[in-house]
Amino acid sequence: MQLPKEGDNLELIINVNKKELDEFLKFTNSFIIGLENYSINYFELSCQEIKEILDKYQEINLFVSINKNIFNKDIPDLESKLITLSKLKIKGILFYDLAILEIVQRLKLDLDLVIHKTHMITNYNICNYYKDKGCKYAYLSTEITAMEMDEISKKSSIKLMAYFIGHPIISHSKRKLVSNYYLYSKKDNEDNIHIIKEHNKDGSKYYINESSKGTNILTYEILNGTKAFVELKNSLDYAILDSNLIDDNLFLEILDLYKKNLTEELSDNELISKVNNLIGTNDGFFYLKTTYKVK
Amino acid sequence: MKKVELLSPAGDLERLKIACIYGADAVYIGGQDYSLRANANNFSLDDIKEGCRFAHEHGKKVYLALNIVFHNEDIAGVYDYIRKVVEAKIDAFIVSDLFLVRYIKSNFPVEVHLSTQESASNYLSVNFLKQEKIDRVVLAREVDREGIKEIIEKTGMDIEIFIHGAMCTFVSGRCVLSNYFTNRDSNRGGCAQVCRFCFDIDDEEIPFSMAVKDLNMSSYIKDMISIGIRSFKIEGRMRSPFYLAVVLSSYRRIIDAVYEDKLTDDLLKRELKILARVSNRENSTHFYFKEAGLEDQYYTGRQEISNQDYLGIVLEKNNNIYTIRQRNYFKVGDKVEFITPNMEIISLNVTNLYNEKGEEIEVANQADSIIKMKLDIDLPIYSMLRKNYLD
Repeated sequence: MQLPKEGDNLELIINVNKKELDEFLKFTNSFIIGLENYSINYFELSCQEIKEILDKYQEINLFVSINKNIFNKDIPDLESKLITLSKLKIKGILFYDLAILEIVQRLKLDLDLVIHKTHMITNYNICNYYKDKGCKYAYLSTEITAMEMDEISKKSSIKLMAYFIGHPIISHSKRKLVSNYYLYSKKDNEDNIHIIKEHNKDGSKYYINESSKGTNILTYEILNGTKAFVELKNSLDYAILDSNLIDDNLFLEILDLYKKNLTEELSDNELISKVNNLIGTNDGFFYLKTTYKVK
Repeated sequence: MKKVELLSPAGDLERLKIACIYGADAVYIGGQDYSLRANANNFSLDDIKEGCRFAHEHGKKVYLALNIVFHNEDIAGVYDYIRKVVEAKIDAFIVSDLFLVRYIKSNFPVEVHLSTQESASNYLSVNFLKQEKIDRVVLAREVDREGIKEIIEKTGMDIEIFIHGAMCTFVSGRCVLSNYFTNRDSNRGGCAQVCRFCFDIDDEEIPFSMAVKDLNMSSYIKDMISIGIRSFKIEGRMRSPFYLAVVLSSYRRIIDAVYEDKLTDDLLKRELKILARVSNRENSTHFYFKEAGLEDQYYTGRQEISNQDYLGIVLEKNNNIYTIRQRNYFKVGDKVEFITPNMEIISLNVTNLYNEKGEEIEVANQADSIIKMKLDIDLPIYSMLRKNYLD
């Protein structure tokens, strides 16, 4: 793995699920939240609420994720929201849809952009492409290996974010799959989140949830990318830790360990071992290459 | 007025030829690497060359899907591959990874179409893509009629829309269920169609299903032409030659009737019957008129019904003796019909059957065996024999 770039230090960035950030501030001052009506699988706040957070926590770097697919009817309101956000002191916008890139550049909005095409930022050329298009950061796919991430860092000059802890999203549909099921079953849908697994099999479980924007499926087991974090911490700019669906105390404990590792109070091996003890060893695709030809 | 393009899938060279002669204006194919149907037969470079030659000879175009989401290891070989495919005279590349657009457009005089994998769904993103010199955009399947119309009006982009076949439950490019359930990379051609599996949800007794019905826009072709869509895409590079012949000829008749102002309720009714018969799932218009809802999906797992309508394909003709590759059981005395590349449907009774050696037989009951029929009609090669269900 490469040596640290001069002046660069990896920062932890927390995908938060609440407006109160006090308990996180001793670990990091970088956060991601969603924007009301425009985010998929993020804690969503209105522009006013975002302003209130920034007024309250003036030193934080706040990224806002606008990662839904944009449709024509969204555009006037989206433009207005982006203008409002550009006047707040947010650190940047994570975006999926190219409409956001188009709006930010056309209106010359003072917003740093993070390309966040969930499963599609998988190679160094696409990172370089988006850098040329004015993006400052790329949020890497959770389905590539640590080695691939390292190669991307060597062959692209964009700043990189990668997801190490949490329940990553693995699919999104515009359809209301859960509501439809309960309508069909003539039962009340009493929960916001459900668990699915393959029928009559002992396979893995997955979370499924639904919002006004459609249906999401997430991993049930917590992704533990700590070993990859240790290997990649000199190659990346932000390590994302996602608090969504993780017990508050457990999440703080993990954060504490990561922070101690970054400040060299905890060795790499100790970090790996302690986090493994807390959340198991599901390391996703960090060390597992996918296949695609089965013939 | 430029006629709308009917765009067919082709999983191999035989299917490409069938698509070209059964009414497609263009076909899309996959090479042996870099396409999202890694497990279709797909085309070698020689096949691509031959496919382009055949298609161009028939006045048709060929588009190559290069629409995987690239990993680092896929990059090294792709530039040389693109050059070779251009030399084979491909008409367009279908891509989803945007870094390829710049490379292709600055090096080769071929079109670049943006795959639905990118899920372009609004006029601003299409405007951005136009500035990138993309020639055509396959819109996200979730865009409705008014959305499509507005995108066309505001961008002038050449827009391609799926009109028939299987649908993804999830937004294209935003689903990696296959990676997690089977380790097969859905964005690199390995999709295992996990959305068609059956699930348990919480402790509920009724199984949970995410499977959606197929798309069938045959009743709305006139409307889709009127809003300015440039290309109608049929899904299914893994589909059989028979399926392609039936679906393409049906849509060909509908499209031609629209342009000739001869579209009638009776014609539509007949084509709907034909299309329903060749499909193995129920169908719907999904997002075209409204948000897809309760009635657009299945709730009790896979519901697929196959029939044995496809009886064979004409491979050779020697005077009035036709050589046929048989598919399903039929016998002397059965009422059958031939569908032809000329869009004709010819009904007849089977009066004779011979095996490959020329010996008389009563039944054709071995799939993929060669049989012969003596017929007093003129049928082109690649005519298809099927059960008669229209009478």
